[in-house]
Amino acid sequence: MLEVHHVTKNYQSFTALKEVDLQFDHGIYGLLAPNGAGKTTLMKMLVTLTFPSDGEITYNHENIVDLGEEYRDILGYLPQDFGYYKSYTAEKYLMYIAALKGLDKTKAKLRIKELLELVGLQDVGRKKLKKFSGGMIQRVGVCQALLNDPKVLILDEPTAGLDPKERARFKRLLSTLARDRIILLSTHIVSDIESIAKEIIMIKDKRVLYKKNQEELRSLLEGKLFEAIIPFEDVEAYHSKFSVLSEKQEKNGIKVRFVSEQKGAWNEVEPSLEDVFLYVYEEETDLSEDRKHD
Amino acid sequence: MIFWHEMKKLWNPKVLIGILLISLFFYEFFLSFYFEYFPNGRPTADMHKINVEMIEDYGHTLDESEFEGVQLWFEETNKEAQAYLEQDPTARELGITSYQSLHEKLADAEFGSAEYKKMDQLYSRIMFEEEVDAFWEIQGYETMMRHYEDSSTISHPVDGIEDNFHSILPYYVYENFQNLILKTGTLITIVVSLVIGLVHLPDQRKNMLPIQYVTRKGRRLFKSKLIASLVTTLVVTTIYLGAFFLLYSQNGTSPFFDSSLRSFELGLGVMFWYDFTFGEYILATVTIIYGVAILSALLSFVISRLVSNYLALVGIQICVTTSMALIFSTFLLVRLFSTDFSLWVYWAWIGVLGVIGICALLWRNRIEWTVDVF
Ligand SMILES: Nc1ncnc2c1ncn2[C@@H]1O[C@H](COP(=O)(O)OP(=O)(O)OP(=O)(O)O)[C@@H](O)[C@H]1O
Ligand SMILES: [Mg+2]
Repeated sequence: MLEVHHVTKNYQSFTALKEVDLQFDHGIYGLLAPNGAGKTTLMKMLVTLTFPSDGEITYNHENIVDLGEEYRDILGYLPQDFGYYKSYTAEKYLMYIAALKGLDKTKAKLRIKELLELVGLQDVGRKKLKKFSGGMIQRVGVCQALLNDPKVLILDEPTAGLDPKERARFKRLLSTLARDRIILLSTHIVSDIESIAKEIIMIKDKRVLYKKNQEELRSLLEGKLFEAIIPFEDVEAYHSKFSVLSEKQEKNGIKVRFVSEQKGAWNEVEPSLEDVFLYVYEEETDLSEDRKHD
Repeated sequence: MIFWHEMKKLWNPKVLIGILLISLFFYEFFLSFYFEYFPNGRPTADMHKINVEMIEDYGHTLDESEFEGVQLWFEETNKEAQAYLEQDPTARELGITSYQSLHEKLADAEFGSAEYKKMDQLYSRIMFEEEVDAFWEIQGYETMMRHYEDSSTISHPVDGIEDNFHSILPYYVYENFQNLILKTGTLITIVVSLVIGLVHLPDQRKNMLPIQYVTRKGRRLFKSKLIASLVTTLVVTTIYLGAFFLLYSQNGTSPFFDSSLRSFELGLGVMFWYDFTFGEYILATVTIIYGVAILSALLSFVISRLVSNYLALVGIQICVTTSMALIFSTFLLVRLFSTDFSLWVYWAWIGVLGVIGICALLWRNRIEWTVDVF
């Protein structure tokens, strides 16, 4: 069991995270928060790349800093943007990371073959990484994280750059891996964790706002989410009165999806995880920028 | 093994080609002269022959009675010169019978007179056109014998050094080696700094650290890289010194290896605290070069971990190698252990440099365990 106790992280005078408390058991945890919320900061502390300014992180009740190598031995980590040697082949690169993880050579070779197959790169293991596409590199990144069969797997935006087919494959892979380990992945693409995450963590204003399962999260908007088709002129008015989560051009007007505390003559709809995400981070403008690219 | 991975990264073909080019450039501009022109011209070449012969006949020292033997060789040579002058019509006409009289008459003659011109022509013909060996040898003998005689005036130069200064080790041999070893040492420092400077920075620039430092052995990577760097440094230094001594052996100075540095020629110009033979002195400079190579490696190693871009790396490296070259050329290779400085000064510097290297390393090593990785 991995536990974060009251952790605060300051960068000089700037506070990135404040009094964070979290527990992780087996299963997939999704860290869902917009850019700059502190996802990477939290993960870097979980993998001992940086250290809490206050509070502590424990694994099976021991401080991970004191555990040191023993803890890093059961750790797999995929950084948000990670490095590789362009002139290395995928196999050679993985052999190097395997050596750093302390795997012996013959075991590493077998494991690498297995993992390349798992992510569908078995045919390009001998190819140089400079010939790989962004999505292929990302999959090599996943392989390196899994080399030591980690008990704690931390993935920082692992699906960035993957096409829909790969994304679906990755989701399946995660579900099979989650059985006997802790997986924490950060993303701002809701569909990546929808249906597979046991719990979803949302960070807002440097603190953990929610750590709930998907059902509980959705129930936050239960009975408050509506859809209506309105004339173009009314859109302004809706925006000022309600939290509008999305709008869509239709033949006879604009279809708005919004949250209202009172019921009205609108169509009540089932909230999705995405609705909750949009509602929670409503005022953060950079998010809307991000959504356009998805 | 991480060690081999790190070795392979250090022995990057691009870097090797780079240092090869630098080395060739360095050889061409700073070293080749001292190989190609040794002994440099006449009468140095003639002195060299005489010196080697003296060692063959009398061993590495020349005492007073042996010196008389050398004086006999000198007379022989004078006779050869006389024989040459006797059969030369111009010399006969001018009444010149020996090398000494040629010199004296040339000095006495009025500059510009017909007689002067004739004598000057004769002199040029003998020395530069026909290069008659005997005449050059006489010059060599004269210089050498003067030095030998002068050496009796070197007495108790510094407390604790009392010697007869009868060893045979000519100044030009020592000077030639000084020049060569200074440049070789500097080249090795530059090459080591370059190669080891690339031990950490490329990984950081490529954003490899987050992956490396999260692994079990990640925070030990510093040590693996250190071992790879030190092995590389020793190999590089050995290769360079090997190549150097291969070339140096062509200079033919090996007869002097067992001669003491307290020679009648050197004693006039430079005095040493230790009674080293030339060979021992060479070993001392080799030891210094290994030491400084390792120091350069340690500094480069730490600097490479601290800087965040190549420009900063190059800037700092230039400062470091320049300082090393300065230290080399003032006392740590050139005139090593000479009485220019008190003996403790040498050891203090060796100690200080050693401590700097080790402290820099230990300091960074301690930080490595708790440093933030971005
Ligand atoms: N090394 C650092 N020094 C100073 N501030 C930092 C540092 N790293 C991160 N920050 C700040 O901490 C905050 C959280 O950053 P973090 O990278 O954890 O966000 P994130 O949730 O991972 O964002 P993204 O979705 O863009 O990856 C940001 O405001 C960032 O500017
Ligand atoms: Mg991030």
